[in-house]
Amino acid sequence: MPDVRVVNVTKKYGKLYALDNVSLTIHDQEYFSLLGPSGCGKTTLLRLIAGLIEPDSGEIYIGDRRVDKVPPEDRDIGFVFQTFALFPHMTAWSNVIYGPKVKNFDAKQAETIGHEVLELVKLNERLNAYPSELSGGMMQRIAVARALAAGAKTLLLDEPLGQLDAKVRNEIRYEIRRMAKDLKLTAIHVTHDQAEAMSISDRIAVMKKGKIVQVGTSQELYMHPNSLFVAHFIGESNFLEGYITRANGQSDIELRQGLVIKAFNELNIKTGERVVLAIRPETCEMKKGHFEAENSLFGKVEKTTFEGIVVRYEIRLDNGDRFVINRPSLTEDWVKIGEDVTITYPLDKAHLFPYPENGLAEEIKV
Amino acid sequence: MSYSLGAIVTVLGILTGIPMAILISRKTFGKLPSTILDLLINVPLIVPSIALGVSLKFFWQGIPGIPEFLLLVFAHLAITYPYFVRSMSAAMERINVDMEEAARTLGARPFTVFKTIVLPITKYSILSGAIIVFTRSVSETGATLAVTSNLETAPVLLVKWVNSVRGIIPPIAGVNALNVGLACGFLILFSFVILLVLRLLTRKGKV
Repeated sequence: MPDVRVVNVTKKYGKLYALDNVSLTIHDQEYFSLLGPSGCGKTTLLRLIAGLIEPDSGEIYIGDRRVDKVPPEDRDIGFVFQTFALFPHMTAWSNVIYGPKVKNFDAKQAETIGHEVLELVKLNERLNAYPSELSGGMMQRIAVARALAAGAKTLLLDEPLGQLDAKVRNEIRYEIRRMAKDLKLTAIHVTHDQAEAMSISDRIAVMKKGKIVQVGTSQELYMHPNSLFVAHFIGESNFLEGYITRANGQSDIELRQGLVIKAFNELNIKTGERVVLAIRPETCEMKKGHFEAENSLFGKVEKTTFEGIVVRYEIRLDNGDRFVINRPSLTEDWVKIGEDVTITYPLDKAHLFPYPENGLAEEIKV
Repeated sequence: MSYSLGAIVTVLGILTGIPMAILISRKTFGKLPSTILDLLINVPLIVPSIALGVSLKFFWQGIPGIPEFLLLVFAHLAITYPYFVRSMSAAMERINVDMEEAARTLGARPFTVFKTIVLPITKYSILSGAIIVFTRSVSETGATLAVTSNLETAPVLLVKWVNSVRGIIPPIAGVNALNVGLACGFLILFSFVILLVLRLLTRKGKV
């Protein structure tokens, strides 16, 4: 139930910074996700909060209590592992009441709690099964129940759905969120799956190379990415490289082969600077044929892919750049390969960023 | 004599072997020291046991008042130690560290984790390791011969008897080829039973 605060925390493994001066506040009863590619430090941060590792410097608070020197067993946390980490020599029931037992609750109280949490995960009839007899989904539900039974006030989940099949994964992620909300827990969920993070989190921190890049709701991250990395990692983006030829609120950007387009210049990047314009594939409109329009690009369809909900069009713009557009598959008639198209993009949904120092490919690499 | 020595060595072996197995398998001091420790522990497997006994004798003889029996225990411990530590550290490595961490987050102190998680999961390995230690101790000859002058374990006694029958040392009253054969037979039978028990136990541990 408490809020969790991480203040200026650094953790190094050898010379490598797993976490580089990270600060973060997670609110009471919030369902929060740490999202990023592997090696970004998200699991390290979670394990630091749990007390399974110690920071090199910085402070960690759970509620009002500073905990970075407190052993994990005294932090009132529950930790759910990707590998489930159930005790193989114990039945589901013994696993669940392990926490109350080692905390010396009396037997009756332990039993009540055990039944309560098993009711919560709907596994009350598999009490006597050993972990090896349960499916992946069941094992993870037992693991969550076990964490809850120990009286966790903060639920820490390390890729909890990573080892489950797609269908089960979708089911369980909402189940875990519902339980956290019902019990008014603070939950911190580590994942590399942006769809998973976006669908269950109140807020998300996007991490990269030991740093937090952006914190916000799913919508904020999607609509207003603060960097090329977030624009690329959350959802999908087209990146057009160019130079600013006229800096203004609405600036001119010269792309390859002298093609000039317009974009809002929210970051006030100066004339002559190299820039990248990020446009999401689903924000654009596409019509057959070439015609003049505001904020438009011309090109030819090179490839179409039917992806179920959307059809994905890969287009070669007239200036040689590549551009992707997603259109709902049911509503509009398809455009065929080789056809000329005109793309219009909404000015307010195209984000202009300075060209990254170490190159675009390196910047968005995951 | 052999059996009480074996029992003492087994108990000491378990008590000192488990911490060592944890050190090695968890790489507490880092990877390199773990590897070096692991190698050191395995040295007695390769060195002839008589050489080990002689070096132990040399090492300790400077200290007056060391009972011969204690020396014998040391010698047997050194020889049987690798068997136990290897079986135990292999078992420890099979335990997923996540499990121990999970137990910690559920409120268990490190010792409780050991008692409720590590010990139950590795108990068959401990048992089979202990049995190997016991049998090795009972059958150990070389180092025992080197270390002792008047203590006689079963194998040492057998060596003496064989020598007496073959006329290498003066005959001992009541010792003849038949007796020696019977004694050997008994030891073989005993070892067979122990190995059978060991096999049954390790099979159970796999389930």
